[in-house]
Amino acid sequence: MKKIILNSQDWLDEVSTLALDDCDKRCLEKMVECFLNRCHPPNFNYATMTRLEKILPQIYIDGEFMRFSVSTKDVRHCSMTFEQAKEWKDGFPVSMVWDGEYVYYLLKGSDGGVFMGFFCADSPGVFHWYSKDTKKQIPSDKIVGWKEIKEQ
Amino acid sequence: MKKILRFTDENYKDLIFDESIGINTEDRETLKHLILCYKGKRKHKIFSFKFLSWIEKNFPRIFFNGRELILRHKTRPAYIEIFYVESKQLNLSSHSYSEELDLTINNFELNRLLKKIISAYLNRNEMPSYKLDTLRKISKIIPIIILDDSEMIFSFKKGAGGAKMIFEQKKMWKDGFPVHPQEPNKKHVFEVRVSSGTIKKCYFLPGLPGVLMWYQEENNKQLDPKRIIGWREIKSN
Repeated sequence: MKKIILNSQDWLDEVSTLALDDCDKRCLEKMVECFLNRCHPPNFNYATMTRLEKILPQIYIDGEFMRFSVSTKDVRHCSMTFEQAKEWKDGFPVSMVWDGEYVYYLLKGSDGGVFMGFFCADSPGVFHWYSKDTKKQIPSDKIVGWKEIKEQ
Repeated sequence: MKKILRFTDENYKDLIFDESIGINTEDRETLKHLILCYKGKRKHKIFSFKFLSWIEKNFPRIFFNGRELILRHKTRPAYIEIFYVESKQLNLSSHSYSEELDLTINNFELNRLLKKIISAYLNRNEMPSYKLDTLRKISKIIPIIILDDSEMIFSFKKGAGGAKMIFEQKKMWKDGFPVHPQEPNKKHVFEVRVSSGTIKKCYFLPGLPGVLMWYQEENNKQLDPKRIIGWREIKSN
């Protein structure tokens, strides 16, 4: 399968050179933009999502393989996932708070330890991770990655 | 910096007389009286100007049920009345604004609206969309918000596509990053002030999800986040 290798700094220029039709290019642009800006993935209709699932080649952003998948309950209720394929993800997830409460994630520290934490914004677009136990800020260089806590 | 005392309906009677709060014994009675006046349970007492300046100098900042109380006085011919009123400012922290709003804003609609606006601001999302009439109503009821010690301004402007809500820091050089629509092949450039005092033309990009950085327009070099004082929009002439 063909690979698309994108760089977060100039991905827009790179996407414009791809051999995709204009509609699919716009869809890909939206997906990458939402991913980098921590927005919820775009809400395309069922037909568009399933078409993209078939035609999109393997995508790498900054050297990381991205997983694109469509989950469908039925034609009306479908959603897409566009995320790093690796277990411990970089950056920050979309959800910070849910119903007024911080959302907790599993964090892997650079010492190999795994602990629970949450993140919040100190100023617009400037996020930091905090330990759930101590409520203390964790320096970004001490975090290897985050993953969601799976419900049992 | 003045000490802050936070009282609630439940704890104020006990807390005022707690020795650890750092008010001397005589002043505790005054503070209790002033709080009871604020709650409408006592009539204002007669004080002197000298006593007002003593209170202003020596009393801590008081928060009651999350709202800051500020001293006001009425001048009479031979004396003054001193009393606490609720500050019209709402002091919030970006880390706990949701809990703080639950403690301070009892009006359900206003509480939900403020949470939406602050969440959108901190996440750099577009502000919630309302009709012009609704925005006019909001502008009349919204308190002055101080978020992380920085005063915020709420405004709205009419445009071709309807009304647009604006919620931003009042100061000239703003913290964090602006919201801007990512348009293909177009870099949005802002003025960024660095700690040396110079102003550079910069754009910003996310390197990883949610990790934004400023870059200089002239050489595409990343700016050290520690050196950045703030950003502002470039006004078109």
